[in-house]
Amino acid sequence: MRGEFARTLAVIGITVLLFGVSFGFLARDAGLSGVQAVIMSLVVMAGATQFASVTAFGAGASLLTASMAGLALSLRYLPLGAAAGRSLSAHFPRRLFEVHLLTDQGVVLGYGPDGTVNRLRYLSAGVTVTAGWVLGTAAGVWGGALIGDPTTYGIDAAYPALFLALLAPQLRRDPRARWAGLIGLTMVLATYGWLPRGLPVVAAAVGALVGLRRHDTTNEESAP
Amino acid sequence: MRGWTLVAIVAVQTFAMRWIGSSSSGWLAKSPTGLRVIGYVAPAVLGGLVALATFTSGDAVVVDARALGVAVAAVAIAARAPILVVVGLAVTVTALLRAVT
Repeated sequence: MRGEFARTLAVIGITVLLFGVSFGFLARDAGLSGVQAVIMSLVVMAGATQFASVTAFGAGASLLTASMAGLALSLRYLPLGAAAGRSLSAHFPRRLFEVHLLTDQGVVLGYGPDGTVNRLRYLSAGVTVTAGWVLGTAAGVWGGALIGDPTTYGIDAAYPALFLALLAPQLRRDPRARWAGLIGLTMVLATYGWLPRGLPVVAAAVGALVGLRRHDTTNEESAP
Repeated sequence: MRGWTLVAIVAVQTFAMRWIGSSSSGWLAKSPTGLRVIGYVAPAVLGGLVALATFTSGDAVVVDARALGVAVAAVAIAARAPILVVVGLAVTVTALLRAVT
């Protein structure tokens, strides 16, 4: 189990690193300096957000437009934060750090059978993602075109496959988790393209309403 | 200078989203209704992210090489394959399909 956890972190780190490289390329093309790109990856630490805002920036958009493009993609941290926040440290300086480490990988890796997010797993993923993302960005801006577009190699399929694999134990155990995931998936497919960017993932959170449905066996189990 | 301004704005607003989301967690968990819902936010949003990463490209919903890669991964997951096999299959199948099409 420990080995499996280490391998999972390795997969997370490597995939994020490769996307960091392609972000590094993009940032240089868009006119950011190497130092700016690397610092951005450290202090923003959000792949989709950075791709969106820097793409707009590079296309000559105003600062307002470019940052709004990023904000749209950051909206996913509202529901992800709602899922994980109660499991994080409540102590002030430490909470700032732990909230900054909020990643989709951390939520999926930490999500447990009781519906909470395991803090250590969340933080392990957060630190791994930060390291991979920052190093990848540095390699992309200063390493030259060594790797190229990761989508050429199918690396983009690693992310959903990893998420499904990590969610599988909870999906097997809990039919309501299966429904939540299925509704979330359907919401994105149904709203993508006509809802503004970033909102389909937020809409997916309505899948959580399955929690209101009473478990069919709850009454029998809790009866004395 | 414009670059640094962009970095600063995006950093502040991304942290704000993380902070607001994380703060909502505590008060949602306080109400009995919120508590029943909050445990299912993770699978709902992660299901959405899987859809986004598998079936979208640009502004459109698409079925391309990734769909087969992820489908093969799902079969491997059902067969209880280890994580490296699952992810390796998704990447390999997707890359092979792109190479031949």
